Amino acid sequence: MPVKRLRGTNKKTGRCNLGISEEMNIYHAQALKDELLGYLNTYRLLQLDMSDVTEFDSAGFQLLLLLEHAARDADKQVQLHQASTAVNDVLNLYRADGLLGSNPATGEA
Amino acid sequence: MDMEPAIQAFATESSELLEQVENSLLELETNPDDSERVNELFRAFHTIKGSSGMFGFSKVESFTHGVESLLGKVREGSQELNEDLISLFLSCRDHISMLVGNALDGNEELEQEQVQAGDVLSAQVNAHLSGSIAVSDELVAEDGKTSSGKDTQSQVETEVDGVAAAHWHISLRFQPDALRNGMDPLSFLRYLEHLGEITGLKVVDTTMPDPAEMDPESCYLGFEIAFDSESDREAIEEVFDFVQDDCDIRILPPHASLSAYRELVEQVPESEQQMAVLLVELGSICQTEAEQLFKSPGNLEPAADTATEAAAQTSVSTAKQQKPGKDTAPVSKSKQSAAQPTTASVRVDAAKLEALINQVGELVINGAGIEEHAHRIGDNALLESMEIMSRLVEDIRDTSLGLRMVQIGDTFNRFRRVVRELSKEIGKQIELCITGGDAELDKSVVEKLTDPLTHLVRNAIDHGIETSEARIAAGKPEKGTVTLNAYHDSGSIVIEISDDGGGLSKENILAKAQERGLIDSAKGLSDQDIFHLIFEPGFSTAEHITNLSGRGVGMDVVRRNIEALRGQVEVESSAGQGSVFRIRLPLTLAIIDGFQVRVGDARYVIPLDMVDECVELPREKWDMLQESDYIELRQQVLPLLRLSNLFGGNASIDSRPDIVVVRYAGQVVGLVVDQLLGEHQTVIKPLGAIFQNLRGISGATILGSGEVAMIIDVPELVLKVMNRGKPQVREMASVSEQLH
Repeated sequence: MPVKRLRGTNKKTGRCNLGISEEMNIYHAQALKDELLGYLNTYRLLQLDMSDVTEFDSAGFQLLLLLEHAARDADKQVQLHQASTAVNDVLNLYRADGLLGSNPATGEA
Repeated sequence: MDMEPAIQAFATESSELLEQVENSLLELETNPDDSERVNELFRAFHTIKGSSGMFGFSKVESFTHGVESLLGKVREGSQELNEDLISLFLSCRDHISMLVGNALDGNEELEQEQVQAGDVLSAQVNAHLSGSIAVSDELVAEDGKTSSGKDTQSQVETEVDGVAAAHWHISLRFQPDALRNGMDPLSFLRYLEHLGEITGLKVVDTTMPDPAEMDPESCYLGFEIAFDSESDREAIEEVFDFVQDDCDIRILPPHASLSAYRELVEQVPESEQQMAVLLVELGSICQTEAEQLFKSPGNLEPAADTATEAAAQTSVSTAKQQKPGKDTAPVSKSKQSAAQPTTASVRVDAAKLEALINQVGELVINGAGIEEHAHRIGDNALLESMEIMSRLVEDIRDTSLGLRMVQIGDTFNRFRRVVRELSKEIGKQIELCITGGDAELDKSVVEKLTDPLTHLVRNAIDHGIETSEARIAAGKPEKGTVTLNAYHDSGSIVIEISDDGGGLSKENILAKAQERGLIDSAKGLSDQDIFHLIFEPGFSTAEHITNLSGRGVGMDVVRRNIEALRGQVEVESSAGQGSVFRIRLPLTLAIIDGFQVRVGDARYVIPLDMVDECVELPREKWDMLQESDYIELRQQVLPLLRLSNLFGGNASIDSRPDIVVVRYAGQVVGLVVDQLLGEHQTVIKPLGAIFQNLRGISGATILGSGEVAMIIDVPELVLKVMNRGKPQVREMASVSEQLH
């Protein structure tokens, strides 16, 4: 399971904290997409902890874009709470520091 | 000047191009809107025309000229590419191929009928052109213009009419398959940063579909990049060299003209509005320029200003062309890309490769010799160096063998034409499906494979697939399918030719086999055995002999050809469902990884790819081993073969026997040996003619100590075990026979 539900998840408040495992890349993209969209279906607010992600490629990045679109369409919210260096490196290169409300402090180029 | 090498190069190039033409045409038949293919075709004909002109092969040149013009019309969309036209192009291709062959033989005079055929084709081409031959002149003129434009590029790029921005603007749109092909935009952007500074970057994802439809392994990313760099265009282009096929790349120089930007905006899938915002935010154009660009396009067409136009053209032509049809100047670039396909390559004489492989073989043998010495001396430093050297030798071996590996896809693709023509001839609708074309195998094997494959494909079409009426009556789709598939399987490559036709008829085969005296009765024959009868010499069940197949000289030749490559052919079939012919071939004919074992005093090598595992036999089972031909391994019955019995030699009583479990074609057999000696690189030396009939041995190798070890023919042994206790249908083919 590439996605782990973390503490603080609450069906009533509609908030879900998710931890994403090490590899957020093309090899796991399909599984990740299915799981993440599944959570977005159930909850109103997804908070992603990506501090464990060590491998993050363009496929992973696309998934974040996808989540942003999906959340906007469904009037829900996805937030990037914590990100590892691997993730931040990519976001910086893609000048996407603001994606999913990610922390601008870690997103400095 | 000695023209010989140049002419040689022309011969190879043109035959490759003509092959490519054929593939493109057949591809276009199923996919008539594939404009990239049309471009490819155009380039190919253009190159052939150009080169033959250079060598003064005027017949080729003038004939190709007409074909090229007609293609030009197809490309610009004024001529629809229908099936008739494709057939015409195919015939023209064949004619060109013939003309080129003639010209290369120094034989400019043609036979009367060839001249007539050529005239007929030319007339047809001209009819299609219907008086608008001018098109081609235009294209030739353009050709000249753009190639001269390239020289003046540096001056043109800093044209006064250009935008204010002093940075390069790079626009990238990745193709859906980019990620799957291992082309991550990240790596190219990171590399780009080495050449200068990315001052601005915008990610574009307008092509990304709704979440439900989005394929997370496809790439939907595009980038608009402002790039500040001192590098020249060539250096920047080089960054994206690798990804050319997976990405639309457009590079605009500093101070590029506004019309170049307009061209860019027109070519990308994003709307003008979106692009205007992006470009302004990146600072590639300023607000006023944007207004000029988008609000009053009419004013911006300074047709008289040839310099601007040339600038626009150069920037477009140097960027990778992905939007044909619209484009104006692909010709100069296309020449280059036709000459060097996706990756640069060097042609090497096959004999040189052969020599290299032989030398590597010797290196492997001698390396093993040194290794033995090193172990005997036991000097640690020496052993350590030895270790490293062995690894290097192994790498060299793999690389040099890899040099001879070619993808089987090219061979497969040739069958498109075969299928197309045969199915037309006999009036069946047949589709050819090709999968696994990227599986690689030794070039020498591929060459010898064409004939048997052709035979099997023809058979599938002629005998396998039923007529349309019969198919409909059987409730199958009217269109039959023949599939070519290839994959790797434990040290072998497997090639499958399957059809969804009527399948082999057991009754017919048996009746025919009895009639021909191949068997006495059907007693005790499994389906497999029956199907294998079709490989017997002089066997044919076709009720009607057509000129395609059915003369009964085919299948036994197929089998012989395959077995000559140390391979096997098997057949599977179910009535009404179709048949599968499976060819199993060793990957290489020269060097393998071997597993060395001792039996009695002799050493043997088992190809490592076929070794599944080694099992130590518990003491209490030793007795069982003496009596039975089977043991139980993890609740499975494992048939055993005692090599000491098979090959003779004195079995040692004191040592505990080991079992090497080998696997071939899904069958597992345990070989009982006296001692396991471990891995060993093995150079296969064929056995001489005297040993032709030796069974169970596929060759020999020389060990480091200079001793000779026999290489065990696992397929043969597995067969032997499987046939144990069964009535012998026919003499088992001896594999050693096929070693030359």
